[in-house]
Amino acid sequence: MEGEYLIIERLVRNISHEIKNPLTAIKGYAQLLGLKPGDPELVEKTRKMVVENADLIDERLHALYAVFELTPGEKADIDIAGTVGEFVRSLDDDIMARVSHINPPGGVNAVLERRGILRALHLLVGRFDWKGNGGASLTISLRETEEGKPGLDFEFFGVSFEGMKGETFFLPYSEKKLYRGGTELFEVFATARMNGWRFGLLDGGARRGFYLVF
Amino acid sequence: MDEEYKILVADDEAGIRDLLRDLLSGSFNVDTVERGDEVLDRIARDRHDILILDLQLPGMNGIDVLRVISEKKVRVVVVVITASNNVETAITAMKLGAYDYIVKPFDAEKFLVIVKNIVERLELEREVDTLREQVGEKFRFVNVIGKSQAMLKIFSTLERVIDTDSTILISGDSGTGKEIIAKAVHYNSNRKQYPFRSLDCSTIPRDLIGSELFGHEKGAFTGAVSRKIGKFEVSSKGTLFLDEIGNLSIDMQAKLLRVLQEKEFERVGGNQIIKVNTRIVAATNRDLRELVKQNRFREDLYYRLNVVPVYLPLLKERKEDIPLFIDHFLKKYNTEFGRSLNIDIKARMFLTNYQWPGNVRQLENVIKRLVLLSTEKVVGPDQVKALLEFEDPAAPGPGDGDLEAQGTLPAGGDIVSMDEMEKAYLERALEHFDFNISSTAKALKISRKTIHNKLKRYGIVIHKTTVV
Repeated sequence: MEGEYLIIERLVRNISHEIKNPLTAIKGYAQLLGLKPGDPELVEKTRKMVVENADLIDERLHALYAVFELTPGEKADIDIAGTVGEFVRSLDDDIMARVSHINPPGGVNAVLERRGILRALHLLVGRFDWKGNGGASLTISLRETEEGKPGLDFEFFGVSFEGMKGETFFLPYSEKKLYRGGTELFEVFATARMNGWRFGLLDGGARRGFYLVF
Repeated sequence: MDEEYKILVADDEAGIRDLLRDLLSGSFNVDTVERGDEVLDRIARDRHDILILDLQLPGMNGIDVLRVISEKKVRVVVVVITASNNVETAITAMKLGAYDYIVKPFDAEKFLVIVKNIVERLELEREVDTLREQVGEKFRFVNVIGKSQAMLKIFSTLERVIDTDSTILISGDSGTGKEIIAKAVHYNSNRKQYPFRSLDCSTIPRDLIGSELFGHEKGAFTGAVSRKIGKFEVSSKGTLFLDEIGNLSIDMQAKLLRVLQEKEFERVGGNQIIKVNTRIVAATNRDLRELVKQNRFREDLYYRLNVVPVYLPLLKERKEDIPLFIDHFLKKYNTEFGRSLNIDIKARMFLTNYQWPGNVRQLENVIKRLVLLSTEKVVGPDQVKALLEFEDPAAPGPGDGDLEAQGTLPAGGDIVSMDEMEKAYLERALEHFDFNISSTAKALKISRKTIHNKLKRYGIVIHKTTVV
């Protein structure tokens, strides 16, 4: 119960932080109008800022509950390594140069939802803040668990995972240094949950990266 | 508010950056960044005065930015703005030197009050820096009077050691300018922005000198009603000038030696070790080596102090500087008392050849009295002699008779002749009036023809910008 309480507390803090920012802009411009009355440019700007920031609040709330509206897709026999390779090759050249993937000989197949894997790859790799983490690189490797289930390890190099904890790292807006949107890891978590996958930090946080077990 | 102050806003939310820019740009130059890892480079490049810093930033979070600013002593006032009202985060930010911590959504008017207070603080700091610079300027080597060979050699020695933290021991008679040299060392060094403090070891009672130097804890002795910070601690990172160091008692010498060696001490009555980084400049008018032989001064302390010895000559041993001192003190006291006294050339010659038992301090006193008490615009040798005889009838002066018989002719006969004095004075007067013969003649109350004759006599050739 204590652990769950901490998760909820963290979630509430994260969300309130993301809502407070646009609220600050709305309140601030309303007060600015009072400080500089009769300025038509300011009136127009205030109108624009209030609308934009109200929309931003709406967007952020929508992004949160949208994950609960995900529906599972069809399952098929998937060549996991091949799917990863295809995804990596679709990346922009500058990002592709920083991502490597290691495949075991013979490949690994499993019956999985292809759309879910691609969504997870897009969120973890495509939506990573490569520009802001200029020294970062990533190795994606296939793993085989003790239960014989296939999985993927996403190990990052040249970035800090300091402060990321197993119980809360995936919460919305917990991690903005690596993922600008703030909800990427939460969406992966929701996707994994919907498909019955496991999603967590590599070696409990001892290594910098994530795992997905299918 | 002053538009010259620059503010950098670091927030990843475009709405916040726009709001703060619109709120502040009427009175400040406002720049914005959206990533934490851009903040430090931007400040280094554009030297912002104030940083408005969000804590949740991509690239590098606000606390890490603040930590680097604190460690590298980046000169910027930081106001943290954050959506988190977590007390621990607030305490961390304040401990790292943030000026204030504001929780979003904040009140715009209260925010402006905070910025206004920061500007007032910055203006005070600028004023202190300017005043410190002005004080320091007075003691730049080039502004310290001393064109004689002896003084030039001293400045050259000091310039070599000025930034090395070496202890300096200045020896010289009373009134030779030991404190001026100590201040020159401080204000020409990389310690100049830190305090300079001085202590005359001969004027503080022996039982109180420990407290003056090292401070004391409350209740350390009768009368110690509160903690006192001693001069060593106050002048840490700066300079402490210990005048008349030969007067320190043996036990105080031992304590001083420990501080010089270990760079730490305890306050009187205290047991907390206090570390300091204080540069010591010591001075004495006694022969410390003689005191060492008499067991009245510790030999180990002597060698620890005497790393860079400086011997200030008697004023009579640097006669070339006397005319400069005369001009300097005349200007100083004419300005202070609103007078316009001048001293004629014969009086100047007299002053230059006088023995000055009280050295520079005595010369300054004499000039000050002349300015205060003279009723004429130009003072001649008679008024000067009268004042000096009044001061000390027994004091040796150049006199009108046989100088050797009066015992006042210095060994080696380095007395300056009347002609040399007159030539030097004429050259300075010409330089002062931009080599305009008419103006110079008028000021010296002699004719243009007399000046031309003197120029020919002394072989002075004017090239409009200099004399040869």
